[in-house]
Amino acid sequence: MIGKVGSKNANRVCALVSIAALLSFYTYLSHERHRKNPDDRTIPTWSQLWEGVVFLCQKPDTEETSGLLAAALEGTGLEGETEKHAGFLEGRILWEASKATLARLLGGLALGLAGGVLFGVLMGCFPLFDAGVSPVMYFASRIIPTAAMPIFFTLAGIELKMYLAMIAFGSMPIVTLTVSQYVREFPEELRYKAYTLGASHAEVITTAIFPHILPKVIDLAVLMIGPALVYLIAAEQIATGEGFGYRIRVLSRATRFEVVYPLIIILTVYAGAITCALKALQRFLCPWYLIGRR
Amino acid sequence: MTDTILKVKNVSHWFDSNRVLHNVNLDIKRGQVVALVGPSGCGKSTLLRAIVGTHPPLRGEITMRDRGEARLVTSPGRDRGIVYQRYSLFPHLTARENVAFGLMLDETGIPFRLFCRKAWKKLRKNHLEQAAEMLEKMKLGASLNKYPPEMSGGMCQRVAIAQALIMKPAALLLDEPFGALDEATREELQRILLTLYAENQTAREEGRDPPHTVVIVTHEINEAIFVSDRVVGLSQYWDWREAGETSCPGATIVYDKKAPVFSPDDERDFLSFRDQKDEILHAVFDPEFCQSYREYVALARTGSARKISNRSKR
Ligand SMILES: Nc1ncnc2c1ncn2[C@@H]1O[C@H](COP(=O)(O)OP(=O)(O)OP(=O)(O)O)[C@@H](O)[C@H]1O
Ligand SMILES: [Mg+2]
Repeated sequence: MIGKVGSKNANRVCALVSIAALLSFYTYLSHERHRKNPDDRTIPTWSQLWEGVVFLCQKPDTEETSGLLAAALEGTGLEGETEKHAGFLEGRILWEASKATLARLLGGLALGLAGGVLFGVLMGCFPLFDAGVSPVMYFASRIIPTAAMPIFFTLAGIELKMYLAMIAFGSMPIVTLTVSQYVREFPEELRYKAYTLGASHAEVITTAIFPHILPKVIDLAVLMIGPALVYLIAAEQIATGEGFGYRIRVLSRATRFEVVYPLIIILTVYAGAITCALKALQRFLCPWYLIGRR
Repeated sequence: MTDTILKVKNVSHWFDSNRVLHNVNLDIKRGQVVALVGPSGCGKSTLLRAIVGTHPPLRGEITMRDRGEARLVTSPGRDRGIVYQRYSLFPHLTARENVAFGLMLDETGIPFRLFCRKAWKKLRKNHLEQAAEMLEKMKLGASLNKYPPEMSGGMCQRVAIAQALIMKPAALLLDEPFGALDEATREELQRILLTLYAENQTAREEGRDPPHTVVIVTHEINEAIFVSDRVVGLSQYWDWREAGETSCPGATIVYDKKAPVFSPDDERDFLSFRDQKDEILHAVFDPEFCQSYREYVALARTGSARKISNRSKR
């Protein structure tokens, strides 16, 4: 019957089958590719991929990476600027890139969410504030952060604060508008009831409205990981520095796809891990929310 | 002991051209359990919202007097407890936390809870104990730690009543609290209200002030007569033409009489008050019947009772 839920084991088997199908298709593809051209690097074999992973995790061989860098910069007009990319030659690639990218992503998201929740709650609670701020927020939410990127580069350079500002500005308007909607959906009966129980205005917000919207805010944070990563990786691919976007660009130019693929997958895993962590936080902080939708 | 707790004076209310309440006058005395009935859409909820203070009336005034000075009602306050039909509980709190919520809000402030953590923890424990005790009384001892979605509608309404009662409000206001419940559950909850009335009786016998004053809005006439000691009918069907109006100026009080008092374990026999039910149906709900609104108002608003029939002592 449509909509009938299968057993847990059946669900697991189905998931495994589709993953196995995907992996075999890839194996077939790379095998075919290498049969035609043994030097192919765009669809690496499993052993090449393993080498890529090892390359990511090991301290780099200075000579090898210098060569990489030269290849990457070739034809970009930046050949003379190797010293700018000196970071490339030190440290384990995966570790350095992860540190940089995750700090930017989590910091930017935290700032955007904090600002968005603050403004959103105020907008939801105070119609006059809403009237003043919402046109600006609507406009800001339509700006495409990647289009405005050069402005951020010019104003804030390529340091951490630029990435934080870009992700925060990119996500805050949407978060603000959504949160203000959540606050408006808070049942008026509960608001009145809090007042009859002796709540002050601040207590209505902090003890009644905020806990009520918190699980939805966490869901919103999960949704915002996607756009935030889009802004971040795009910026990293343009800017010169450290991070997944930058590594992927440089290594792709040098056609080191056996390293690029693992990087992309690891980035995806990071996004998935953050999602899982946020969901766990939601279960921990708002057990009531999941009861309602079981 | 028969002092007025809640006074509604010349209250009128309208939404644009929709005139809802017209010159409503109502005196509610300490210890009364008043049922407010009326046709759907006549403005019962509007009147109750005005009393709660969330939507003050456009004309007239409502005053509360719970020991000391009478205070004009302009906003919701902790002296009036409210139970709604829907959204009666905070979904993010367990039954016990919901009941303790008012104690927390009433007795502490944000700075205290933030900065005097030790003292707050101690007080919180005490609050939760009080809440548990209250819920035991409501026969909910087994559901202390359940969240509202885990409880049935009847259980939720019982928790909501406990939540309001623990504040010892001067007046407990209920807007169709049992409207969404099945008949058996409804009866259980009606008996809780009868328990409150019984507590009033005991207090009176012991020479204390009766602790509970209740206004319950309902569209069920049997329920109104069963749980209350006074039935007030609000209706737009009255002789407004005589008052020189060309269109209905809104609902006003057309019925106000005592109702028989039941004890919590009395049998619920609707037949025993069929006459009063028919009278209310006629006076309040019949569009054809537009007699003087004073005809069935036995408990005159000044308090000098002009009794037409006294059915309260059975
Ligand atoms: N916020 C509002 N804006 C405009 N009109 C309203 C509003 N609230 C109520 N009304 C109107 O006022 C009238 C009385 O409504 P009210 O909810 O008080 O009736 P009621 O007696 O409680 O009815 P019911 O038995 O259906 O609950 C209705 O005609 C309704 O349409
Ligand atoms: Mg109503």
